[in-house]
Amino acid sequence: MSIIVNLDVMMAKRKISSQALAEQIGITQANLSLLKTGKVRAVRFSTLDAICKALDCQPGDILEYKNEPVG
Amino acid sequence: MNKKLKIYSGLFLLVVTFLIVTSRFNIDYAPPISRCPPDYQKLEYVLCDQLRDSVYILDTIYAGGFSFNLKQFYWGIEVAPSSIHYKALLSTVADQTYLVKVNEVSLYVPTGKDPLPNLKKLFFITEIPQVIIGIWIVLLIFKFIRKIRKGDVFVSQVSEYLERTGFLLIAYYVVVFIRCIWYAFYMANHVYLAGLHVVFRSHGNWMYIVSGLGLLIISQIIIMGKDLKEDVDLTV
Repeated sequence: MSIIVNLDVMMAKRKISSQALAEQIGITQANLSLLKTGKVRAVRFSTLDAICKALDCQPGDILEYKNEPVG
Repeated sequence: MNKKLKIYSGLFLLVVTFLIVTSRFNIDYAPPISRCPPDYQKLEYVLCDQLRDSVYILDTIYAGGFSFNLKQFYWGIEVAPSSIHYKALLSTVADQTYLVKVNEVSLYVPTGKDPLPNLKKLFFITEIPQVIIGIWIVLLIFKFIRKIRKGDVFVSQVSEYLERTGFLLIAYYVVVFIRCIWYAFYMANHVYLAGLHVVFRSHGNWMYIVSGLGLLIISQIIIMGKDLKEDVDLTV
């Protein structure tokens, strides 16, 4: 997929653990792990809002678009 | 819409339209039984036939009932008159006389007396695929129900079971159809009836094809449901 999730980079910058972030945004650690590895199909605006609030960042800091040729 | 769903729904529409059109214009694919005397299926054998004023007199003897064992098994021959103006008068059916159109009559040959060579062999060769398909369908339905009872509805296995069952139902119709063709050819080559000829009629029920195609469509809907469920599950 062309959308890259940079959540782990932001988490390292903010020095926050997965467990703490998961608790703050109200999702399970397993789902957070899926989100970090980019294995999810979609992210709810409410989840994105909570992540941005917890990490004090913009959605663009977490999500990145990279144009990759198909095939 | 996925490609398979398009094909299956197109075929379904085609078959249903065909059935509606043929029933609207009253094209019969099987002889109507309701207008015949109830005992006509139990006629044992045609002893002789003769022409009297455009009416066929088919002298028959009453077999006394239909039973499934090899010595008492009857093979139906569906016949039609060589001339369409003739009618058939069935006589001595349970000591009563009935007037029945010839094209509604099946003549039954007792295989126990073995008047036709290899008839039993033909029966078993054509019966085995039907039995296998039937058992296969029952097993698939059993697996399908077990999966549903576990609560797994939108999973690929359920779709697979439904798709296979759909194909098998269609295959069942095809097998019956082939059997009827084979049987009609066999009878036409072995049976001679003066003034009558053996006709081909498929005994396959169109509902097998309709329900088969219906299951194929449902299987593809299950696949779409599975994709939607995955989307929901993988949304955080």
